[in-house]
Amino acid sequence: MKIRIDIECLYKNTKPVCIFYSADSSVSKTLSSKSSLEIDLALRQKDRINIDFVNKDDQDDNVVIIKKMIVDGIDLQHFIYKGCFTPRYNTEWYEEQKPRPPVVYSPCTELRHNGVWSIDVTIPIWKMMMEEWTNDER
Amino acid sequence: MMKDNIPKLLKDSIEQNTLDIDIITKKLKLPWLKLDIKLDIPNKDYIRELTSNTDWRSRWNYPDLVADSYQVKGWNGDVFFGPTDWKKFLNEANKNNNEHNHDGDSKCRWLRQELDYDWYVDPDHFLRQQIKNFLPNDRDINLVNTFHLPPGGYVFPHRDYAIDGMGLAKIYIALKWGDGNTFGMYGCGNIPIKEGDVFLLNNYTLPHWVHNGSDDDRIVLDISANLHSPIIKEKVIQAFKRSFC
Repeated sequence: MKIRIDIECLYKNTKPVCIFYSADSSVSKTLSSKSSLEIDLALRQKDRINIDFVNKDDQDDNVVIIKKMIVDGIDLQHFIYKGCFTPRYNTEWYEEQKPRPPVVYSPCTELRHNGVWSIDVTIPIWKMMMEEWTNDER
Repeated sequence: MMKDNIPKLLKDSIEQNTLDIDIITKKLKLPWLKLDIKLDIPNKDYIRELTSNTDWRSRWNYPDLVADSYQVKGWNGDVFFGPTDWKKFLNEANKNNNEHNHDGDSKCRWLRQELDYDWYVDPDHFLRQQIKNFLPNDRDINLVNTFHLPPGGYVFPHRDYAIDGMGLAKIYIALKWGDGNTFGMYGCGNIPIKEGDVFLLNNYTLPHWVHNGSDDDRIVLDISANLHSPIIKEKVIQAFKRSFC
């Protein structure tokens, strides 16, 4: 399925590298300051779109910021805030932190550590979005 | 009779279970009811007035002020009855906007007893005259506004939220509604609206969307009113009976 992801990155020299994957397929991309990526991921009826930030450079302090995700031609709009970021902290940095930083961030669209941002999706996307609204009891 | 030998709770329930406007409109979460109300078709001068709107999104202080943003295209409208001190109204109404941007109808209902409301048009205005036929007391009106959608215009799928947990609440009148117009309600198909129809809509429970696929302007009159007002109450109960009883 065609997925467009608009991403902005902060970096000095180390361009962020991310692996985009679902249950059955993956693709790796080196990002620039502003990227509008067109990727093709096989998606099952219930699946998870993952973005794994794999080359965090603590000296460079490169950052990946997810701005927009369009799946099957449909902008997920504010539903991208349902995504979760599970960082893989630098062990040395982690040991210095008091209190300990969270295991998972949500909502989160800024990846400031190595780790995986993921969002659950169901196909068809339009119906998934309708169900999200319908079941929103806040 | 057999009824004399049954517990009082059951007996009273059987004998006194009349139709309740609050149950019908708030609890059932029905998507719509078609009301048996007729309005005259506005003449060309009024149509021109109803399509030359001010900036609706700016008026309501919507955060996204781009008129043709991704979610809407060409959607506009005007207020004909509502709070007289609009700035004060918005300040008060937006205090309750914690998690969702409550819709205009809901905001006007919420503050009806606290602020002054009045017509923005003269007593002989076409709309005012027409509405008087089924809402004779202005105290029963919270908001009267138009929605104008040009050919090709749309409002994206979305769900509205109410401060007061209402269901059926929006009196929706298709003043000008050519073939090719749709009002979709998720899981219910398109609302079967034809020009001149008057519906009571629930825009708070399900996602919905509109699209003007015709080659002419679409004009809708939106009224938030006290559903206990005598004529409206009778029309709602009549519509419910027609659909379910």
